[in-house]
Amino acid sequence: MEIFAIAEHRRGELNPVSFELLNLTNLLKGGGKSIAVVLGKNAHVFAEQLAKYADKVLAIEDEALENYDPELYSDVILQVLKGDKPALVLIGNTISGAELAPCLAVKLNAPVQTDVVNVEISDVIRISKYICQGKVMVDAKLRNSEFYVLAVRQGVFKNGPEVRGNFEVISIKPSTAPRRKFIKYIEPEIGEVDISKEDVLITVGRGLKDSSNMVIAEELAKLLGGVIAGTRPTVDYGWLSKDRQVGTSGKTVTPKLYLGVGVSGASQHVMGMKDSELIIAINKDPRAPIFEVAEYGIIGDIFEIVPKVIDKLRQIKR
Amino acid sequence: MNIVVLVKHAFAPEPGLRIGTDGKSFEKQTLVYEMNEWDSYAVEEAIKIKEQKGAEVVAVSVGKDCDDTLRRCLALGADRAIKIPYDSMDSWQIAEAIHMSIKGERLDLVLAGFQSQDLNNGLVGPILAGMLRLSYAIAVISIEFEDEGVRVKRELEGGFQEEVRLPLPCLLAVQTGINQPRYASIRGILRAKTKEIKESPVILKSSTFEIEKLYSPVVKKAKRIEGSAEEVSSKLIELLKERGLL
Amino acid sequence: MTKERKKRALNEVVKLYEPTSERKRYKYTQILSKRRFDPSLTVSGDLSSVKDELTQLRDNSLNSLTELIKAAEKNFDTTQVEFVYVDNVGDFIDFIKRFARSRTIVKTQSETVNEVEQYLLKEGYEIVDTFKEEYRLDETESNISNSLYTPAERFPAVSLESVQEKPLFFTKGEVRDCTALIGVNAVSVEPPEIHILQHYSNIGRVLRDSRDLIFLAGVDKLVPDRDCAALQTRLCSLFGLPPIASWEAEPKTGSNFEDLGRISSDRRGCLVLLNNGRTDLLNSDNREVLRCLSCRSCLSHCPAYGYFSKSNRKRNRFPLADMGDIVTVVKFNKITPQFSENLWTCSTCGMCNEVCPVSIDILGLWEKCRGIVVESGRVPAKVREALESTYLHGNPWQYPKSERTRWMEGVSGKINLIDKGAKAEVLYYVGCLPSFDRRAMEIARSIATILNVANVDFGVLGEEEKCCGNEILRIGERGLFDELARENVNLFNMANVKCMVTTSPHCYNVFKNEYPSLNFEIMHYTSYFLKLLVSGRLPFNNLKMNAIFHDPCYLGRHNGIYEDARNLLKKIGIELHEFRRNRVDSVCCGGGGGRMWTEETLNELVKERVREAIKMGVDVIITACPFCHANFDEAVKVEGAEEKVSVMDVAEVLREALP
Repeated sequence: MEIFAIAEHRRGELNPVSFELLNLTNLLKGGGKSIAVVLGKNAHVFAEQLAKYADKVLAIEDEALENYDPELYSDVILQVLKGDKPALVLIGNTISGAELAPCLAVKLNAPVQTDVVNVEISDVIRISKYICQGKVMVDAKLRNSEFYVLAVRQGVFKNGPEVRGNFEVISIKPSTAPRRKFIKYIEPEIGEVDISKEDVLITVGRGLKDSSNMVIAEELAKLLGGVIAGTRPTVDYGWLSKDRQVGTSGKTVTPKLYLGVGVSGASQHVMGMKDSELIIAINKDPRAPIFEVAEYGIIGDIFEIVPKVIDKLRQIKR
Repeated sequence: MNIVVLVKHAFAPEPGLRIGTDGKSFEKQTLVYEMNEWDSYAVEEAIKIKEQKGAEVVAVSVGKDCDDTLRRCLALGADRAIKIPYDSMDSWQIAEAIHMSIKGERLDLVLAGFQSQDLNNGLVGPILAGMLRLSYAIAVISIEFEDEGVRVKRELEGGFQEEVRLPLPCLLAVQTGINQPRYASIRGILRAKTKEIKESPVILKSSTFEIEKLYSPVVKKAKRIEGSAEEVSSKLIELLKERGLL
Repeated sequence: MTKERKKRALNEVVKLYEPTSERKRYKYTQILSKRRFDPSLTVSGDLSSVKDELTQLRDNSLNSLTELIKAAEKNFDTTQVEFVYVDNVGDFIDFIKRFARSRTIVKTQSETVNEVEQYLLKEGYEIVDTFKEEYRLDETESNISNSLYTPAERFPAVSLESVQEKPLFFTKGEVRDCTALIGVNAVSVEPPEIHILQHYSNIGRVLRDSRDLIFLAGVDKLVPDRDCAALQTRLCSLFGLPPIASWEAEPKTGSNFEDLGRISSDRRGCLVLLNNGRTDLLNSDNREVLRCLSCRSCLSHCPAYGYFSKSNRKRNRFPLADMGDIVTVVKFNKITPQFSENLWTCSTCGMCNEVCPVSIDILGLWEKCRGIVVESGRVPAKVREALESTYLHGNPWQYPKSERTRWMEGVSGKINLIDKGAKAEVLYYVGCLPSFDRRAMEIARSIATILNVANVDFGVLGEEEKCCGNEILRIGERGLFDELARENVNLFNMANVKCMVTTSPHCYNVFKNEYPSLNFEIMHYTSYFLKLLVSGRLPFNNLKMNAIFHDPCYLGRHNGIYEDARNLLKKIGIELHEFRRNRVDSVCCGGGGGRMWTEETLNELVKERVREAIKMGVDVIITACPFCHANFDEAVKVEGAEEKVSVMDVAEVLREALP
């Protein structure tokens, strides 16, 4: 089975998930080849980097491919795949990858899964993925097909061997006219605090229940010399401004101390903080996915524990 | 304008939920069902468009017991509802069933939530768009109508946004925070009983996957700090001291 | 109303509001927005007899409104001022276009004027507001558009003697080219007189200097005679806002128009009676709103106004708001933007109903308006979540049903689970907050422990217990309340108990007053424990505690129960301090009316209460409601006063007294 990894790039930079996909591909390829596919107006600039980890890189170039578009990209990938059956296509489970995967799958009439964390190829393809916002894992086998499309979670296959393959630059035009039109990117607003530069982050989640409880977190942050950050729901609720959001659609942070208070650890959030130096989480739900990424976990009521911590810290300061 | 909005009668992934003895499904009585959170934003967006520009809004849901959610959509302002009375965890199956059920509908816009709160696949919308051959966008956080179609903003990683233009008809999968969903009062839901919920006669085709196992992932890494609140807080402080953070 | 009755009513009112020795003379304050919470402002004495008189007076006038309008038309015809009846604001605009010779309008602070203001601005009139945020006594002349017309000083609740009737003083000589738009407190039909409560330097100057004078009165201000007019007008001075002006200022009231004609032939005056939906209101469920005198009594006692949140310091916007707003709301079933801004700050404490001299159910109106908003769906996200959670999980806190019995862990003794089929004589209705919240759980645990020590055969509804629905009703979701009530009544019937005891006064209130009649006795736990104690079923040791009791709104003001908790605490040996405002005057903690879910920050009043307790040297603040308990607890934390004072519910105190 041929395995294709679709690389993702934006504004001149390759998304690290592209390499993770290649790591997975190299794990799965058996006797076959790992093939990276990158599309763009000047896709060749990425070819060499990708070739480090792939047997073969196909850099597909065309004017129409300048900006990511799920329909045009899947049309072109389809042209690349023609004849190569069976084939497994791996895409990163980014916001755009998750958009591209089903589009391609429908064109290929292929089974498709998102947020996959494990793949096994034998007589059938088996995958594992999280559901219930990280609290439950599903092992499933896919129906037999000529093609399969899987969107793979970021940060899972971080390591892999160097392969040092070769690359090819091809020009393929999409066979359809574009319907969707890219206008522009909008930069994030700059807030008063840049949480990605802070050493200590006290991150609050829905477990805080009410923004009136923010005072507890703020007090803790003050005593520890840090600032408050939050998960997406806390921003949606208006408790915190967008610049405080940690996660894929917010900021990626790597502080010395990440203390999660009432954070369950949805994958989009975890993406944004998993590389923090010391991760401690307090949550009353023992199944909260945050405990999988935390170094230390406290299963308990934040409203009992945090005030006691604050008390003790105050005593120390005296 | 004709808007179809996809809603799911989903369960809330709460601490109380339990996996059944067969290891492949959930214990039904531990599940509490409600309208999928993301879909409530989609419904609100549909009703807002209806209020601002005039539209007929049709709510569609797949599920044996999704009447509550559909009635809530009707109470919120949808004009009609279509119920596809099957339970499935397969996004492809669901998208196909919806595709068959809305074949006769006039479509200017299809709205869906970015993902479901229970399965988190985020696939039904895009697969349906593919089947309907509609242009689409996901993770939408703002929608503006223009002469030639819609201009939407998509929320990307790192706080970035992407602005794209799509022709109508198209499918948009919206993110939370795009609007403030309104409340459907009990009286409103009772009044909505006069609006139609039509059962669709389609039959689900075969699934694209088979669940082999459902389980709680092992809490791998975290070292537990245990004890009473008093003990835990002391131990936490010791840990912070050890790591030079105090 | 007979002359004697009116005089008696007047005297009663005077006695009630006799300034106490604690009321000092206030100097001018520079900025209105720094108005401080006045703890001396109390509702003392028994208002009920006077309320009836005043309510009667208003009702009588309203009942004969059509006749009064006809009579007024006839009587005013003979005076020097024109008399115009306008049905709606559109007609008023037509009138003013014809009547006013200047496009500059100088207005006094009046709700009726506010009704028409926006329309005037749309027509391009320039409006000069004489009520500004700053006070200046200096009478230096400057051009019209700046604050020459210094704002009205709200004068204190002085004794009636100093509120005298005097005719108005119109300047002889040159007048300003502007049109005065003046609100009116009462229009007497026979003799034809206009009564305006005037403060030194505001209305007086407006009246003195303007060329054209428009006296704008809502039709509801018509009264049969001068005595009624005088009583009505003076009441505004009595029930008014906290004193912020010097007592030296001499308020004046009353005027007639013979003077006007005598002074200057160029000046004109007109009395405009504005309907704008008021007669429609007369024929509706909400006709009581027309009794309103705009005395501001409700505002001056409302904890939400100005104290619960800083953004609410918008004058004259609620509880009753502009008459125009109310009319729009109840007539067109539509909430105006002013209303929806403040709608969720009301804690339903009931102080407004208590102090309203004309018995308007202001609280009921508030809830009606909320109901309109709820049906439209446009509630704040937190309200929506609380309501949806109640529907889905049976509690507004988004806890799953399965966790509702966790509070029982560690309670010694047996607790019968009625939901599992056990039988009992007494149903202990725990309530949502005490079932789920860590801190409030202690109250439930204490109550269960005490019940066991007293050998009471009691049971709980366990996981099947659902929200009582009091706050759901206060939020305005009648449909959800009806469903909850139906389900709860079924449960109660199955339980077949003789008596129900509740943790929360909110639950007590709704079961007692809003549920269909139940065939068992309902008591708040403090009353029940008092009963147990008195009948010797509850053993206890004497307890010494330096404590103060805070009256919860739903036990006290709403249900008239003030002494049970006090007697209970006294019997176990505690001598209680009292807050300056206690019993019916108790200051709401801010927890009711859905505020436990809507309000983001703790309000000032409860913090002030804590400070008062600390100043008195109290060690323990004793509450009898889980909301008060939670809010005071948080206030103590926010004030950083955990070392100085602690918060305990009555049950927690009683538990300490157990042998």
